[in-house]
Amino acid sequence: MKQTTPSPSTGIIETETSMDTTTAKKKLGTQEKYRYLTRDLGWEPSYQTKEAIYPYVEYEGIKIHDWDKWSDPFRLTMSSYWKYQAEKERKFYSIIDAFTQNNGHLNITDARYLSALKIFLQAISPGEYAAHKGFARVGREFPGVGTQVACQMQAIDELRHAQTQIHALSNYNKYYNGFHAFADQRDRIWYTSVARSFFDDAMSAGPFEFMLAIGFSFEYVLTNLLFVPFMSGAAFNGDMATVTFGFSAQSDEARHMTLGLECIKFMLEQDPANLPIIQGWIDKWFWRGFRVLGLVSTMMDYMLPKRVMSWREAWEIYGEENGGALFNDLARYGIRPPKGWDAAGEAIDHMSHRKIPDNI
Amino acid sequence: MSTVFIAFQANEETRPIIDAIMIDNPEAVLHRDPAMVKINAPSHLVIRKATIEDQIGREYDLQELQINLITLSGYVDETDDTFTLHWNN
Repeated sequence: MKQTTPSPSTGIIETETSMDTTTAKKKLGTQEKYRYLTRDLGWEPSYQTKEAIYPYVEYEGIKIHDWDKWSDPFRLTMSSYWKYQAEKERKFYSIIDAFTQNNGHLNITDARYLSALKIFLQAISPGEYAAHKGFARVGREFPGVGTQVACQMQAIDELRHAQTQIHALSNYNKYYNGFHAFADQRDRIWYTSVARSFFDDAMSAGPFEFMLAIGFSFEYVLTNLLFVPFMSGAAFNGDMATVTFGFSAQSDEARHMTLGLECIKFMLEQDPANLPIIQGWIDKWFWRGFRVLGLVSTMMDYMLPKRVMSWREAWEIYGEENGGALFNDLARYGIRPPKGWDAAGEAIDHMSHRKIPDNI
Repeated sequence: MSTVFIAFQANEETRPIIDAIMIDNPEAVLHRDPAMVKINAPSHLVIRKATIEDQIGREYDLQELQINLITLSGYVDETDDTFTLHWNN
């Protein structure tokens, strides 16, 4: 007797033969495992109509004809997700323990470096939490099963980011002022109003616009600049706590950026009528993301006593070059670089330090 | 031609992975920054399971890349044997 049904939890196909003959076990490939554990979990509703179950999916005007065309290039299943996320957390907390046990807060290069961490905790960490809530919502609002699973993972990721950032910086809070009321400060300090407004706007948008706001603007444009050159700078300035949460978060962001790009490509491929809507969102969210980057520019140019690269150099690599590559690629769908792209290029040299002229 | 890139934390786990990537992608350029390594390549970069296994001397699941991955650029195409980044231009 042969059993050929794979066990979805282990991904193993049992090819057991009766009596005392050989037992061969074959592992499922990544693609098959992903199909069993993701697409196979969806079903056609019979008690309610799809329109009643997913009421928010049409009002933005985006037309989707076949949700099965959505693909997650990482093909990550929940079981693999937990395995690798647990590994990231173990690494993270062992470094945080070592940092606090060894008085790591005394070994940073200069006190002004702490200003960058305060900005991060007040402006960015609440944003991570907002992204968590947003993805938990859109994971429910999108009808596609692949999309639902990817959004669910991202919702958990964003919660992890907020938590690891707060945990990592709580050690500084024991010794230095200005860290304790970051969630209140988000609502009270003028410069954090930029980041707060960004996330409030994204969270009150429909599911497709939310995906573009976070997946394209926050992940693709913003987090590379925030979590890569700035975190490398944190390492250079002796802050092992921050570099650890930064790189740990960014390893998830790589998946998020891919999800965001897939979402844009998917919408553009589903219906030509989606193009002008998406272009409008790209124009809007590029500029909103760019304004949030004003915070990062100051952090990089003024608050890293030992610098890895200037804000301009970071923008050339992760903004101009990387953004340019994306827009070249999307040109085949009719997408042009965002309105404000040239203005952003001109602003790079002065955005980290120039006072806004009085006549503006 | 657009550049694709991938960046990893600089540690003992990623050292042989980076070696494997440089073996499989002769056009790739390696940049070392504090705590991280970034690899750029013109339009296309492939990471092969078999080459990593040769370097580390044990079986390797390409999804393990996620643990030390920092960021990447380009579309991702992942199979059991390869992890590819590419731009279509």
